Amino acid sequence: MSTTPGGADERVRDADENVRREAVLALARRLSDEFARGAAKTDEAAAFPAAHVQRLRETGLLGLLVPTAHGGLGLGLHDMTRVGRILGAGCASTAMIWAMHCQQVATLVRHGGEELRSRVLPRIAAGDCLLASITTEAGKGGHLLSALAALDTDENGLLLERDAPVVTAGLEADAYLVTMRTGPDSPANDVSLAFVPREDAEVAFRSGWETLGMRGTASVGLTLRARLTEEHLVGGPAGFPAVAVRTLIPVGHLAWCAVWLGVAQGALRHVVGLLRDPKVRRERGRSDLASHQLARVRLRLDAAGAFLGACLTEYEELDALDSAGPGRHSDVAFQLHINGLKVEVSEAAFGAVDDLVQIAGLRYGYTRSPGTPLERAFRDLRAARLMYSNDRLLVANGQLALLDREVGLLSVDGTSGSGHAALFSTADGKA
Amino acid sequence: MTHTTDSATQPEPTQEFLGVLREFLPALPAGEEPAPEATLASYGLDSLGSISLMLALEETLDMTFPEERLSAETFRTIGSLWQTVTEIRQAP
Ligand SMILES: Cc1cc2nc3c(=O)[nH]c(=O)nc-3n(C[C@H](O)[C@H](O)[C@H](O)COP(=O)(O)OP(=O)(O)OC[C@H]3O[C@@H](n4cnc5c(N)ncnc54)[C@H](O)[C@@H]3O)c2cc1C
Repeated sequence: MSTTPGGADERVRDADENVRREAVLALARRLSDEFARGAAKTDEAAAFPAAHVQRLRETGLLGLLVPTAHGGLGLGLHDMTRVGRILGAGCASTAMIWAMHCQQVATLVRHGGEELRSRVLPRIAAGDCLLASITTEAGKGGHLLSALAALDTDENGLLLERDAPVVTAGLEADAYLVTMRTGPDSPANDVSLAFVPREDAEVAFRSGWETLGMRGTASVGLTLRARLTEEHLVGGPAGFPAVAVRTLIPVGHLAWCAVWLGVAQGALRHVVGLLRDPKVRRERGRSDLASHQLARVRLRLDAAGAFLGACLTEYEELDALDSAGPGRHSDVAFQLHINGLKVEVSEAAFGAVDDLVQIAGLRYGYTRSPGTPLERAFRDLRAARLMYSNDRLLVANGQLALLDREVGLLSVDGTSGSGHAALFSTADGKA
Repeated sequence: MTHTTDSATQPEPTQEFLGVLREFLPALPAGEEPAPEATLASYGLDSLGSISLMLALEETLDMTFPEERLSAETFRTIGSLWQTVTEIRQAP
């Protein structure tokens, strides 16, 4: 579609985009209701929600972030977070599978080479390519910006062999984005990101996923072996730090937070419905304490939502400043905000649902039954603090906070950063 | 005092400086001298490591990095970091 700037063309394009947006949000609401009906079963069986993901494929939602020129919906991160929240309220696992997928799509769209993009993006848009992420590794745990397994080179190109202990939708994905040490002699912080199509890889199942919550994500353990070329390296050799700072980390945090917030929002909706039920109200009588508790939950989620919105705005403003390099995304203030967002929303969403269980009580909150999604939301959201551990992010932010002497607090109009340069530029941090 | 930009005229890095540095370079083989022109990243220093390194240098050498010196350029190589350290310490 035309991207000619200015005048009528632009208005048509914007109108188009608004129509698409409204249609997508309506679709997401329908799907969310559908997923909500299957969520208890998915959770109980700890089974990959194949039917839900099939719906995401056939409705085009896998292509939400794929530009229209490649056949996608051409929507942005605001829309991603809206849809993430809507889907999260239906089924946390399905929504997280979709969020992880979107994080990888955003990475490919921005950092993939032209050939890779034109080959893969249309397949994503058509619903034929679900993406999964492999960053965790035995021996280094969750440390994102390092890798142990190294790419090897021989006359046939690159060889990738790696263990992957936790891969959301690992067995169902059609391709993976995998962090690898760039070469056998590279230090652990010299990391490349490889695109690995499932059909070109030997994928072996190693371990199952039998967890407290997020059970439908089927985040199994795998080993992976594949032959690749340099064209498969997203962001080029040793390009991962720049890709991570620019896209993978911020988009990941935004997408995950949207889902967690959506799960908590769904839980609050449930409790509000419960408390509006005249029968329940007669049973419980009037209570200032319950009002107080409910107000706190609502406040916490509104604050978390506002934080998410402000980070989105800040991210997009930095993006607009500089469309190519890692640019201002490595600014201390932005890093503090985008890491802090993940910590805060993961705690707020879980804390809110914990309180909701208390408000709803044993029968409506703590008991497992198809009509009471609270205990499932509680278990699902417990994963949020672990999923890229808050402890790691807090250690990082504690150090970063010392660098931001101006204390550039986040504000909604994006005027937050105290504006000094990043200590470390991922663009030229390499030899 | 004028600031020199020619690293050839810089005094050699002190053992104190190198001692602090060593702690933050996981990929520097034990017993090996780090090369002044090698990038700190090539010895395994990552972004968070640079902050820890900066704070440790401030503590050990009793100095403060001014904001405008906290750049990728400063933390690029051992030579550039040492030069920055000497310049900051020489500044009035
Ligand atoms: C639902 C879910 C889905 C996931 N999906 C994927 C996926 O698709 N792909 C993927 O690669 N991974 C995935 N993961 C893994 C995830 O991103 C983390 O890497 C993983 O949860 C970390 O596991 P860990 O807490 O055992 O290990 P670590 O990150 O090693 O941490 C263990 C604990 O040690 C402490 N700790 C360790 N290092 C530090 C430090 N430097 N500073 C402070 N504290 C520290 C923390 O308390 C931390 O909780 C998923 C995890 C979950 C829960």
